[in-house]
Amino acid sequence: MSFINVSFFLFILLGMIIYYLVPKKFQWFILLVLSVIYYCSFSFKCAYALIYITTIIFVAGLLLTKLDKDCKIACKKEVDSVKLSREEKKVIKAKYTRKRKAVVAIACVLGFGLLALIKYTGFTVSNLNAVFGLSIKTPSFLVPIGLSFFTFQGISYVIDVYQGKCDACTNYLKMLLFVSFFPQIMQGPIGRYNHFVEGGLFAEHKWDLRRVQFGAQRIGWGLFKKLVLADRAGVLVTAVTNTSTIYGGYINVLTLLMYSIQLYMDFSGGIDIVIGVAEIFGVTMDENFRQPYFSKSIGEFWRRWHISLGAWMKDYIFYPFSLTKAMNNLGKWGRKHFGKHFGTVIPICLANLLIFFIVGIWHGAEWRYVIYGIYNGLIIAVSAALKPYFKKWLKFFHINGESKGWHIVQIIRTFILVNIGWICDISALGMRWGIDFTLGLFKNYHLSQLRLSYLSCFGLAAYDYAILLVGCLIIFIVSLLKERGVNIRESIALKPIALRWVIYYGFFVMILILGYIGTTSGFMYANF
Amino acid sequence: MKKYGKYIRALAFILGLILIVEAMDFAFGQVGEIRWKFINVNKKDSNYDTVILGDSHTKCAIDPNIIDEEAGLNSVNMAINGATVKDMYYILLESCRNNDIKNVVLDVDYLYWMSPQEEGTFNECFVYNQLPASSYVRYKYILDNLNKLDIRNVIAHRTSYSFATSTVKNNISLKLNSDFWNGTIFATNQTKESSCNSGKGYMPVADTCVTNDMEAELCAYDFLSTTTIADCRINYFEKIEEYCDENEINLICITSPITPTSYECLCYEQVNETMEAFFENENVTYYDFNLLKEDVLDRTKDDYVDNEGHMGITLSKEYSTFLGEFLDTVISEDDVDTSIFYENIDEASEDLNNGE
Repeated sequence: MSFINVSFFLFILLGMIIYYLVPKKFQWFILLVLSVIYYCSFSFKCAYALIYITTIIFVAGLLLTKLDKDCKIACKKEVDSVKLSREEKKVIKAKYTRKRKAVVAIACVLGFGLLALIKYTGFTVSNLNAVFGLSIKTPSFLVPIGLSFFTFQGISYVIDVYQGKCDACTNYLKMLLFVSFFPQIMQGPIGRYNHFVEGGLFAEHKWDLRRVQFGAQRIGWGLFKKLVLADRAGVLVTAVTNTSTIYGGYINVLTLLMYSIQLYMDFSGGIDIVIGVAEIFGVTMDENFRQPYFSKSIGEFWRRWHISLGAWMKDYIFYPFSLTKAMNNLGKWGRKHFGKHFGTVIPICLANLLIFFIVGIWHGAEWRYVIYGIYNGLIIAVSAALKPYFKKWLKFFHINGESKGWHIVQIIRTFILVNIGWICDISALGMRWGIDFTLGLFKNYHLSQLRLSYLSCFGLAAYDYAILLVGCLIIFIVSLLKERGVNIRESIALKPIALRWVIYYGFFVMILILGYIGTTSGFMYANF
Repeated sequence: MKKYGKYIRALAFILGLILIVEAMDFAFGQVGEIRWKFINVNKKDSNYDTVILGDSHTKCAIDPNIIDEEAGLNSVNMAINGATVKDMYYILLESCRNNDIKNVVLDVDYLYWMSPQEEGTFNECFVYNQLPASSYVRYKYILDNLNKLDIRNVIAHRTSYSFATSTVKNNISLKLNSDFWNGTIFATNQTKESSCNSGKGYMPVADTCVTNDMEAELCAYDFLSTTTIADCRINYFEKIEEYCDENEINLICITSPITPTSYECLCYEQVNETMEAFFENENVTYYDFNLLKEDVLDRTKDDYVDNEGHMGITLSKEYSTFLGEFLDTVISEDDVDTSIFYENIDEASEDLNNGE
């Protein structure tokens, strides 16, 4: 049930009607039924993964709550009418903390274990075979749709309960809804349990036409990005990257630019549809993009791109890792030998390398994704390490680091670095191809490559490039307004009705007429 | 009233959307012979009892008037350029809507049976797009393809859109013409001097209309030597079979003869073996008329307008005469004289191409 098939629209329409007709206390249950139907429409067989993750995190949440209660009871106990001393309470708390940590550890092992088994066994086996000359049969598994997303989401719930950020859910079916909530199961965002609760996942919702209209507008915006821009840009990317021929020069540059359009429009367009659908049902979801191509550094980029993944890594890996005893000791050692700055920065750099290694392999069980992750991690690590020197160099060259001009330079620099990282993404034909493609960026430049007659060989006509240009201009203007804090939907809603309708009808006509009608691909991040 | 104001505005907005879509369909949506065929087959006084399904090969090869004369039937040629097996299922349903169909002649074209086929492509639904809004078949198509049909092809006739200025002008002038609303053949841009004005869907090609299709391009179809029949084709053929069984319709599968000089290039021996094995397995009557002997239907490369197998008008008339007599035999359940067939394609090729 793809977002652009008629079945999806009928599903949303019928689901919405039933949702608002049933007694409000059953609305969450309707969402659950819709989610199960939606998931099973892709693969009934893979529903076991949802049940498995839900059961693990549900049981873990209850266990953590029970241990917490038991600990409090144990601490309040009196022996021979004498309250426990501070030391005794400390011992009891430490014992229960170890038990609670064990519950979290087991939940993580079981949850990530399934993910590792299904997604990474093949990769591990093939590498062992290559390195040690073995011939172990590479197993293949049916990969449940959205496995990465709902596994990470589920484990975040367990850790949040452990940390006391949210109460454990005592209703298994509500837990299942949290894991399987249908708009976001295929491509995120990776939600947090307390955000979902605050966002109204289990709440009762009154029919609100304005909210439904806003949701529909968000869906329309997502379809515009996906159908008009992403699918169109993807034509040239596919034409160039599906062949062993390396064109070089302007074609390689154009391919990267097109890929950056395709990936951003596809992913953010899909998220717009996800958020729009959730909004129709009264559920508020976290944003997953915040004008990422306006970032001034790679670090900032990852706070604006796939925000939920970055936040997950930061909260559940970066902070716990960098605050461990080992990292503390490393920091002390660093301060002793390299000074205060490096002493502080070394654990942060290692933590960044770790999380981006994980980000890399999260994207796929291939070396190119590992390289992609490490590439990003290295840039962030090196930037952090050299921060004081950057400040000195800016001062030396009399550059005002706060000036608009310097910000623009930073944005362009970051955009280039991000695009270089995308080379790993497009190197489906292998690392050798990726290296040749990268080298091709520095040679074979001919102006004839920019002729429309030559560019049309890659499947796009002159009007396609014009549509992409105008479309990107629209996206740029909207992004600029959002960057300045303008709420676009609210501002349009305040305009005269005639103007509003012209805008809405205009986008509708654009999607219908300009939406690419070749072989439309599915959403890219649904593969993760 | 104020309370309902926002709902009235919302309804008005949706109405506006519908009007915009209708306007776009009117201006950009191309119509042609597919629409005309659907209107023609459902005309009140049609009373067709035999429907001929196929694609461009069939459209120019089989003259229903001659078939009717020879076999005493009332047939209609519903062949559509590029129609796949899936399309033929829905064309059959549409043909049966207002006719008591007793026989289906399904012309099997190797190109649409043995080439790789991906279901659910955007332009796949070009036939469905021309089904009238009043036909249940249109909604059945949507229901059957809920997970494959793009929303743009449901709310509009998007797959038929063309934005070229000349095409838009032509569309509008065509749709403002009474021929369009009356569903006459001239609404398909056919000239009044066209010889296809028989109302039966047969659209012959003049013998002199030789196209420049190169043998090299044809030989690029060498996938035919390795490919089997795609699942979605089998699936839809079985639906056709099931429909015919349920409605006591006689299903006769044939392959109209193609250009004999192309047999080798297309590995047609293998195609013939695959198709015969398939229909035998399905327990369906099948005749590959590429195996027709030269003395039964004399044909050479010059009788075709291209290497792919589109017949010129002269051969199509002769073929239709033969086919009419043959169908009469098959429908009457008389024994078919197997001596009119070669043993295999190699033998056919050797005999037909002797001297070429």
